Amino acid sequence: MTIAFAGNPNCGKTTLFNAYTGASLKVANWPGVTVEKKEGTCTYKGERHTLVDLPGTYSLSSYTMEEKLTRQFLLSGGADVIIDVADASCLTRNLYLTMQLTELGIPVVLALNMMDILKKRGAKLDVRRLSEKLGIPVVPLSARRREGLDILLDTALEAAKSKTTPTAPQFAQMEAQEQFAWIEATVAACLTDNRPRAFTDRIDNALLHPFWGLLIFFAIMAVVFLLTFTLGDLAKIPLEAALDQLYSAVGRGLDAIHTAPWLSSLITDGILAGVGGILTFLPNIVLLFFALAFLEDSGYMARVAYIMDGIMGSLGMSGRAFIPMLLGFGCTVPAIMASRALESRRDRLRVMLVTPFMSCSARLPVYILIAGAFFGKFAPLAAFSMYVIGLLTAILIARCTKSLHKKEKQPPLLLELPDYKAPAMRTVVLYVWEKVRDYLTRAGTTIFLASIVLWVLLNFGPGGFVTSMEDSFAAWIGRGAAFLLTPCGLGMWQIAVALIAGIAAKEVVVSSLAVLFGIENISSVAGSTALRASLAAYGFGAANAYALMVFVLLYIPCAAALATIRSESKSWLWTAGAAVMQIGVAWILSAVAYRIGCLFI
Amino acid sequence: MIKKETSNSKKDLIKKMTLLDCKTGETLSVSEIRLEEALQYRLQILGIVPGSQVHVLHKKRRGAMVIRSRGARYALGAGAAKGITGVKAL
Repeated sequence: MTIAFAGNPNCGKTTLFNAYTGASLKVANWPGVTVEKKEGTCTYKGERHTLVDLPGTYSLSSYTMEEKLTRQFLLSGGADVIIDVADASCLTRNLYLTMQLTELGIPVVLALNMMDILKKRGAKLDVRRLSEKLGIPVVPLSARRREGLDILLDTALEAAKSKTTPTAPQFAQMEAQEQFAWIEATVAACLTDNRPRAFTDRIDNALLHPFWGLLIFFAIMAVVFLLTFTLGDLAKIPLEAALDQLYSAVGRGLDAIHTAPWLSSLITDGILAGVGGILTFLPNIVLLFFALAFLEDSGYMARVAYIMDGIMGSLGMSGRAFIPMLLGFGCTVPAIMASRALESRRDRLRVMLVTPFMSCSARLPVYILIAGAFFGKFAPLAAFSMYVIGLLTAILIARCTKSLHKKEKQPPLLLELPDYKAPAMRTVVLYVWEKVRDYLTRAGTTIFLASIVLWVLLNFGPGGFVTSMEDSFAAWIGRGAAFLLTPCGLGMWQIAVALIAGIAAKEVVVSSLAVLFGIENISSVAGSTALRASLAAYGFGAANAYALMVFVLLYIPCAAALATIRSESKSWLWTAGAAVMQIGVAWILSAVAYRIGCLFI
Repeated sequence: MIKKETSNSKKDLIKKMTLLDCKTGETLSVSEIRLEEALQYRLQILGIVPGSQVHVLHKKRRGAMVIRSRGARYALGAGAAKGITGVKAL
């Protein structure tokens, strides 16, 4: 049997789908997370069933991409039965889609999700009566608490086998106003006490306040980043100690089996220094994503669109465009993909242009390393200033591009704000794990490869294996690029090599520095002291360090981000333009930062 | 383009206002929605149609607002609020 899950955005469809299939699709408490249909399987009572998670839609007409996809799939006979997931705490609006689904000639079962929230509110729903009125089976459940899941599956399979098509009133022939009148009358007959959600309203009074709301938002973000640094650094200490043990153990082991010097150098100076250096930043990454997941699942993220609508409006963008930009603090790639949810192409392109300036988590290791080495107790401040500079640059670029396509009017904001809820641990853990897995995968693949390539470039020159890095291919390439970076205070071949390698992924800048200066465990206190000493030998001081951080913040985020810009904009020209602009902006602003830095330091 | 008002009902002449004119805490009985097609359609499927009621929960100076309609909460830009007209509900 093929079971399709349809429903409004943010009604818990994906949570339900994950509960059945054991899949770990991303769930978020803001609408529009599922943009493509996803398939999974589940075995129930000895039978295998295919489950299809359709994107959230409010109706079955064909205005948006999600609606078209859902409609086409259902009309082509892809499903034996539709499970229509509805948010019981907002029944009236959800039933509009239900009524349209009942007219397709496919069995429909209504899954009333979030019954726990309804019960908590003290409301009572007459499920049997609702089922009679709608002419379809209705099953109450809570996907989050995993209640009522078996009953729903039993009912759906029963309906699919007996091919009971719905016996609803002729909905399509009514006017929009009539349709809603019918739905409201139905809900009124079945639901007693639909009290307004006082809890959410009370919190909104503070969080959506025109002045305090903006202040609270910035305070929340500041706390998030402070926690990321302080707690993350605490958790890093045992991790570093463990890695130190590993390094010396591997070193001893390689000596014991008389490994060739070049191979032992590749393993310890290349791979271990590169990949190991990245792993120590895991606590910071986990904390950052834990905080972002918490904000998303609580329902706050959607509010940010409203809070920022005024500021975004003055930049000629809808407040909704702020969500992709905010996600950019996590990772640029999904952030650029989230721009798909915006209606106008112009908005999408501009979001793609500015989102890479939002400082993603891959840049964090660079700040922690460089700021830690050069700014002592002001390190968190120096790192936090990167986030501010990134945001200001994004705003500046948005302002500059505002006049493009002046005639096309910006579409006004229209976004559902979900109820606040205590974030579900399962969802948060799943979200964090997904990111951590990405990070580890990158450490194991891209960064692993980049470390090896870099080691080869550093240890071989035109004349074969070199004893001094100064004669290597990398030095040769780096010196070619270094003079371009001199105005930014970054005119060292090692820095140029690290920056070029960083296009593969920003963390590679850290691992490259580790390899280039031969520092093991670069994120430890000893490592950062060694780095500062190595750099100081070239006259590289605090002003240069700050310029380096600015450059890393602003230049091409990573190869994957560029590929995403290409696939989302479907334009090579736009992608190339974006890359050139990123390098240009990075060059100009890091030069400015260096000059200003020289005045003070 | 100026459209001549054909309706001469007294109520319309006295109290007709847009959602943008509503203050926080006020409710509008929607009588007409005139917006760009896609946006008008999106409002329709959310149940914001002539005959429905829209309650203003929060409003910012520039006119962006949070509204309640049919038990759900939406953030609405000023540009959309301007196109929704009706009479103040008591």
